[in-house]
Amino acid sequence: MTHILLRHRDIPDINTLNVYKKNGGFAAFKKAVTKMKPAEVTEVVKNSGLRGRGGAGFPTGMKWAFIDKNNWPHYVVANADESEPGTFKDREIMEGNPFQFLEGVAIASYAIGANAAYVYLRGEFWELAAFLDEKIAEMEEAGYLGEDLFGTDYSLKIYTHLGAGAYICGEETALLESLEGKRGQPRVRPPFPPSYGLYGKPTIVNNVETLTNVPLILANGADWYKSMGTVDSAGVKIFSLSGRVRKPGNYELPFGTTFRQLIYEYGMGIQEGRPVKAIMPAGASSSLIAVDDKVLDTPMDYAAVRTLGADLGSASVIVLDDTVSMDWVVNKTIHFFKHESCGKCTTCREGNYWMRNLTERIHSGKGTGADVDLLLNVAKQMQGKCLCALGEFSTMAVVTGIERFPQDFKQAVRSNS
Amino acid sequence: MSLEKKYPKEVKQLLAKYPPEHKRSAVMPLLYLAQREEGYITREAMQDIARILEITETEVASIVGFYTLYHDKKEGKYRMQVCTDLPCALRGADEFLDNLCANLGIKVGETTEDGLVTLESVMCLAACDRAPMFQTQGPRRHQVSRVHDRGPHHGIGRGVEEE
Amino acid sequence: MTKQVSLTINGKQITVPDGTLVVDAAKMAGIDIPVFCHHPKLEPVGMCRMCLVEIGRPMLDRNTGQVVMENGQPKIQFMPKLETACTNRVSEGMVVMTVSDNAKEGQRGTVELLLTSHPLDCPICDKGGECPLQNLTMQFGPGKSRFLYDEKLHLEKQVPLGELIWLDRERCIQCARCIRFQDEIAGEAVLGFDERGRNTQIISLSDPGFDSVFSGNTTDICPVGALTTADFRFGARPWELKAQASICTQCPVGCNTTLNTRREAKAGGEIVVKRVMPRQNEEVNEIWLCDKGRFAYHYTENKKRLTRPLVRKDDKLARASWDAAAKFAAEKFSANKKDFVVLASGRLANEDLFNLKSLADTVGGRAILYSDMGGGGLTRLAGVGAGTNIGAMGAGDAILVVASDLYEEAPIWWCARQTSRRPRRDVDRCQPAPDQTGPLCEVRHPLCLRRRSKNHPRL
Repeated sequence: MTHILLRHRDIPDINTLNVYKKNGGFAAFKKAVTKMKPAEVTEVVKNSGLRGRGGAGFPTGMKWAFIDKNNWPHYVVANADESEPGTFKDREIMEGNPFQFLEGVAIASYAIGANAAYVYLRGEFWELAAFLDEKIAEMEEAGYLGEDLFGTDYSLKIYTHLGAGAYICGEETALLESLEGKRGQPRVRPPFPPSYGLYGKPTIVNNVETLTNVPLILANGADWYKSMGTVDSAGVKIFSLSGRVRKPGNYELPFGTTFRQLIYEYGMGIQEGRPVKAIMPAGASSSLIAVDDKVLDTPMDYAAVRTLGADLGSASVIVLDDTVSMDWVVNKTIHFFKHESCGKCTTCREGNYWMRNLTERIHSGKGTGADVDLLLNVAKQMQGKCLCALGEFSTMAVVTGIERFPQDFKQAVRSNS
Repeated sequence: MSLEKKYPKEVKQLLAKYPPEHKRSAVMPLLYLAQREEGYITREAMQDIARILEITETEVASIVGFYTLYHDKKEGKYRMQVCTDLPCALRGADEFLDNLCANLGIKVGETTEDGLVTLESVMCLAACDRAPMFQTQGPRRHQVSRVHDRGPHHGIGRGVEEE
Repeated sequence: MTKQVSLTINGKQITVPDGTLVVDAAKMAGIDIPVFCHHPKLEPVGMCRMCLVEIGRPMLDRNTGQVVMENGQPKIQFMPKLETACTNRVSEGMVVMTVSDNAKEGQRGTVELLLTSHPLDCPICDKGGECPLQNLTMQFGPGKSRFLYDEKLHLEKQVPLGELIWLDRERCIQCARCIRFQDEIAGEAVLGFDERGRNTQIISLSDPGFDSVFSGNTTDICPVGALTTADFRFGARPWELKAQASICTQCPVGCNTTLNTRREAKAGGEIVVKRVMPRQNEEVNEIWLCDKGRFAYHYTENKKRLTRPLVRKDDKLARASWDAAAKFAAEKFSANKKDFVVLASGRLANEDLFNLKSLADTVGGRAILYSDMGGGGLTRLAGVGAGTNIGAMGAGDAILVVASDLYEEAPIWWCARQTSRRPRRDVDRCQPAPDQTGPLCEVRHPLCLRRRSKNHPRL
């Protein structure tokens, strides 16, 4: 199929301004600024059914409509802090199809009346930030950014901002704190960014993939976009496939594609032809799904994945085969969350430290059955009590791992039980 | 030499990215600037940045402490950063790291005797399709850094030389 | 007047001003919700998760926006998760449950998590006996630990942050009260957190360390024994001390204080001041005290200090009882009515000055009280004086500082001025030399211009 987001796979050199322009680039932004009212742009995005691709799946147009119009200035912030283990789609978009992403930022800015937008990239993307800076400069040169765009009085500047190694900055309020030059720790919500965001001003924070959808939605219309995907989840999604598959990679597919198609048609099946044991559909913060035929034939959209006791989230599908034991998986994910916990709230700071001690002991064969029970209890005790989603989701793999794969944990503590 | 004297143009450009009343936003880019030459941030640089942004040195240090890509002591000229998170570990990252340690003759967190390489185990680098994944970070890091996607083999680390 | 809203907390119906935090509303109803990071003088942060409660709000019909009724009562919709009482504000018809099984389980869980990295060294801790963590553990915590003691993180226990304040890194529960106080109230952000996650620790990089004249306050608001004063640490146990109300006379502010005293053998059985703490007076010093007021009391230990009445007889001073001395003074005052002059310095409290003046008036003498503020007529007209409520500073249009370097001369007013700036106010000063308060006032300052308009600014 033809790509909508990963268009660089179909069109060589689309990361150069001329090629992008020849392929319809910036026409949507120009149309918006010269022919549409900001509210009309938001309306189209709302009607398209586009939902946030960063993980939460919140309707994008609705978010834009929430912007507080009694408090100015407004900002757009693109969340390019891609750090979830198993997620690597935004990197490819920005490397391969940077102008479509930047045009998405520009259209969002126009829709909410922002004259400045920031692209917050994780620190490890320093080369990518320098690359985007070049692309932004080219857009300014060509008159797509700057003062009085397309002969109107609308002005827009886009800036990049580099993080410095903190997964928590993917959480939108932590990201804003970081952008303000503070420690990247989440704020208490509400208020939400559309009323209190960057520098306390109304701000829309959108994921890179979300924004990259916008130019084509505006160019081709909401109905065109809705014609793809499912009723629950409109359009296409980039599925980042990793783990024990033969061909890991990003696959842009319509919502509703089944796990089986993704793993076997696109990922070419499992290494050494082994069976799939478990799937984490949303990276390390995901629940573990115990796989059977019914799971493999489940269409991947937000609602259907929920029926499996998990969330589709950012659609970072990590595949685990039958050689992998879940006590090892959980130890890996908890090491990650313990390292990335910002330390602001007690629950996540102390809970992940405690869970790390337990998973380490269990995985190293020194744990007992009581340790497994305690681990499950501590994880459940944390749920619903954290300040932000990091702490909340750190418990997902632990709880689902122990509940859905009890044998793996029994095996791990066998010598002591 | 102070940061503004050393990099007058860059400091000005970085400050221009943010509203003047929120110049504190420039603390992260300024810290990268301060780290550019030596690979770590000195007390003097923190004082410079505090003065430029009109915040306290403690506030600057608090930022340095929070983010893992800022360093406050001198280590190897190059940092080899190996991801050992789940997707990489599923494709041999732990074995890869062990081999690297053996070849460099150091443990994770240590620096080679010649001061050239510090070996780090890091969190996900967003390239899980190329797992196991590592990257190198050097002084003028944009010149030498790149994503490496070679699989685990024993030669890596032996041939580390200045590029 | 602020809008009032009615809500129910633990079945008790109360009416409080709109915008009140649930935790404060509960306090008004006599219900204590346990807290660590929350402090009524600081901005809410919701960090420690101690104040978890169940909150329900009247359900609204999606189409009509009207409250849904059930059996003649509004139908209450509870949030699926526990919420922090320190960040949620009251709303009409809200129902709060602070002691339900769910809420209690949440509170117990938070104490347990806090204790996993706390050293539990209460017997040797200065805070023992007046420690919120100790108290709330007794009240809400689990009796036993499920955490292996030797897995506790070991950190430095004796870290001098500066000359006056010591930090015990193991005891710190990362509530950030001290950091937030320095930033929000003192305006001297010399404390911060280093690292993150479980490694989060307090640091101060100022030179000299913890460079603030308000540092002692952080030990008052620290809810554990992490911050202690060099002056009092290992000095006494809190339950050995008597509390005496007093007033600080180090500067014109007159902060209300409590002197903690005990008799000591090494002082010959005399009463010794062990520490000075601020005493709440919202119109004067709220709950704060500067370091001079807190630590400069040691002059009371000077051997040459006058501690008992002496009466001069034949050019020699001799000890006398209080009664005898008072009688002697009364005789002398009445004998020399016309020449009777009282000289008193501004170091005395207003109440003392008032009494001296009354005394002089009674006998027809004259009182010369050196208590006038600098600044002449202007400060006499509109300045701080009898009945001034410093707590209301900032409520007007502007704060005018005349001939004073507040930071040096009246630190707690400097503090009050700095907090009242949060919604920024005009702060200006008229005085000959630059100081810490701000730039020199210009004659063309808007305040001076507005003075000529109809709406005189309120000072």
